[in-house]
Amino acid sequence: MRGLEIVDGDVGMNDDDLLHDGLEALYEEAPCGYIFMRADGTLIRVNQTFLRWTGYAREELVSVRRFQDLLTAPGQIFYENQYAPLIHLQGFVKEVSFNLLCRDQELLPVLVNSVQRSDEDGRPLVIASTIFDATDRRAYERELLAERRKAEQLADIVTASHDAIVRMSPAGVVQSWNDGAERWFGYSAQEMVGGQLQTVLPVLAEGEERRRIDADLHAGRPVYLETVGVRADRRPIDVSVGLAPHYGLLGELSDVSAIIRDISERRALERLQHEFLAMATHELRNPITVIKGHAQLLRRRAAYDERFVDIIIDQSDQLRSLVDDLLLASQIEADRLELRLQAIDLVAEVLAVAEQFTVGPTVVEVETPSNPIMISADRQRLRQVFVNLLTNAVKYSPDGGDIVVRVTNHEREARVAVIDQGIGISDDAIPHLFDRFYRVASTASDAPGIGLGLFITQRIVESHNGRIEVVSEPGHGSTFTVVLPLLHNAASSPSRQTAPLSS
Amino acid sequence: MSALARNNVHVSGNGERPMIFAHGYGCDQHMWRFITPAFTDAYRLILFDHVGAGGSDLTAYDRAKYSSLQGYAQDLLEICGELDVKHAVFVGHSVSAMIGVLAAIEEPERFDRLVLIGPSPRYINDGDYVGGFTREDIGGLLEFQESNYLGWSNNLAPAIMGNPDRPELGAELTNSFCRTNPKIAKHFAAVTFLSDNRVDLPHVTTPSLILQCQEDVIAPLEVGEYVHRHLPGSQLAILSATGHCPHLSAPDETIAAMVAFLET
Repeated sequence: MRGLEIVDGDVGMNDDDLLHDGLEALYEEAPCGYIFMRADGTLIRVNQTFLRWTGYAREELVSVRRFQDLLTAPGQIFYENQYAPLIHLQGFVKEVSFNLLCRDQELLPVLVNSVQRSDEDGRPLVIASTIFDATDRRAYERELLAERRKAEQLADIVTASHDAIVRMSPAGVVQSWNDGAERWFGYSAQEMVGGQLQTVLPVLAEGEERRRIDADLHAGRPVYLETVGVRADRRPIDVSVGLAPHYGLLGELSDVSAIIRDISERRALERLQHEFLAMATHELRNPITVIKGHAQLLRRRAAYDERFVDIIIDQSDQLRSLVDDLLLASQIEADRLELRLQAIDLVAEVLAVAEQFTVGPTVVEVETPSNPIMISADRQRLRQVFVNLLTNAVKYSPDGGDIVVRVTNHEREARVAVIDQGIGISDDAIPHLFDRFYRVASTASDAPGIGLGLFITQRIVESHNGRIEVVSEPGHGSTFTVVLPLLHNAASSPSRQTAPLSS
Repeated sequence: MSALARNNVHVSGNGERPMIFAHGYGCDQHMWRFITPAFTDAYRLILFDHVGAGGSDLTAYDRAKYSSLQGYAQDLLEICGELDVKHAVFVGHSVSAMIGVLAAIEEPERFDRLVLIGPSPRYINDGDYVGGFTREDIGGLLEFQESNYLGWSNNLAPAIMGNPDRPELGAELTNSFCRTNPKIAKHFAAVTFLSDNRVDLPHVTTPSLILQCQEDVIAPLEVGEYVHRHLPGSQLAILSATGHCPHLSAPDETIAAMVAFLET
């Protein structure tokens, strides 16, 4: 124990003196600040480390400043509302973060631990605190907070996503299930978490496909596939599935994220396109075959045959009208339908069109008021509307039956009703009647056409600020009513009735 | 659920006349422990925790409801309703002074006297009005608070192992007073320090006492004087205590001022 004496050669100091010196040095030069203050925060003693960190001279702090004077405004709020009440109530405070305002106005992040000594009546006498430099820790905290915020944002995105975003174990056990997944598949998170993802994605069931997927995931390759899922109500749903593998510490596959997107609309569109191409090809091919056949016959016989020529002309007309429809539909699609509006008499137009339909076996009866009904319209397009409606009426009245066209004049609008006694349209088909390429299922195979007629008809009427109303009863016939706005004051202005009728 | 359970209401005391205590931001009903003994004989003491603080039911927290002080005032009135409180003395610290003001405007019959400790109707400077803080300061506070709520800082975070009925049991492990849910506390801080209730003051009809400390950075003397000027029938008592919590740092002086006010 006297070894220190030998090293120092200082014979005069005993152990207590040495210990005192040592403690003093440790106190002053400790790797942390030590401060003592009164209950109101007035500093009464600080160590050298604290002075060095804050840049103050001892006499600038002791008895002059309070601890809270070394805090910024947010720190002071925190001190008054949380630190001070706590020290009063429990006699100590553990690990509070503060920023100390140094003499050069720099901020020093510190961690404060305090303990309070009170007199016999419980009145606080002195608060002793250790101050640790928390610069590194604060930087780490910031990173952590930023990461946490990022994670929260990602979690929010997942929750709010319209797509299904789920996580599963490598064995296919569902670990998380977002609102999107619930929406598309009809199962709640409670029902699915812990269960097998293959319940909704049969493609994940044991088998060749699953082995291929697993091989890709284990090899670190994300997987994309399009498949059919199964909803809670057993209905199928077309989906795309993106699988992203995640790995554990040892590089083993730990879990798999799946983003599942409803692609039924795209699939439906694809099917529609496919059907359309098949149908259009068929519809175009038929007249061409007929034309070519009759032309060949004419050549072989080397003699004029009026019947054959009529057929060729008739088929050419059909071909042309098909191509016209396609062109018009594409113009409508591109929003480039151009109208040459002029004041015309609706009654005259309807009569002119109905005239064309008097040749067949079906009787077309037209009921019109005696006065003209003036509207603003593109004559060619308007006629096409009535041609289309009458064509349909004839086409879907295979057993004949009269067709009535009734033109009426109302206060602000004209109405043209095309009434047939044909096969009618079922309720569930009516909402789709005006869709592009739509054809009523039960009739599609019998009647020719490519499903553009009503689509074009409605768009033309709408572009004239009108509308089409449909009433139908299967087995009893349908009524399509075109409603068009009257030309301003035309009905009550006799002087204009004759004006633009010619041409 | 009842307001009494939701707000961890504790009723004690031997008197008839109700005295209801509302703690401020950053603490819970424990902060009244040095004041209540002086009134326990003459009053029926009602203490509670705001939702999010102390032993309140955290599941009752509704961000929309508590995005203004009105939500807290509504809770206070519900507690009064369930306990059939009338003609009470209301004692509110800091932000709860304003919560009491809002409640007293809404249902004046419940309150005879208001004791407002360190009240501030607005903490942020606004033109000529000196609240003591800038908006940036409040932003700094929220950031600051986040730092004190991180996982390793067990200081003010909820004591997981603590017994809510016997908080002193957990005292050696962690700070067990003024427990509060970090997320809620942050929102409460924002709502508190961004609040502006200056227009409400003139509508109060209940006589009130403003207890103003020396050197209170949260509610400086100018703010106390402002409240006194705009609060009809208010008295302003300037204490020799310093800081923002005279009921903790100078309970005797605080009690004396309250008694003097309640005797008039």
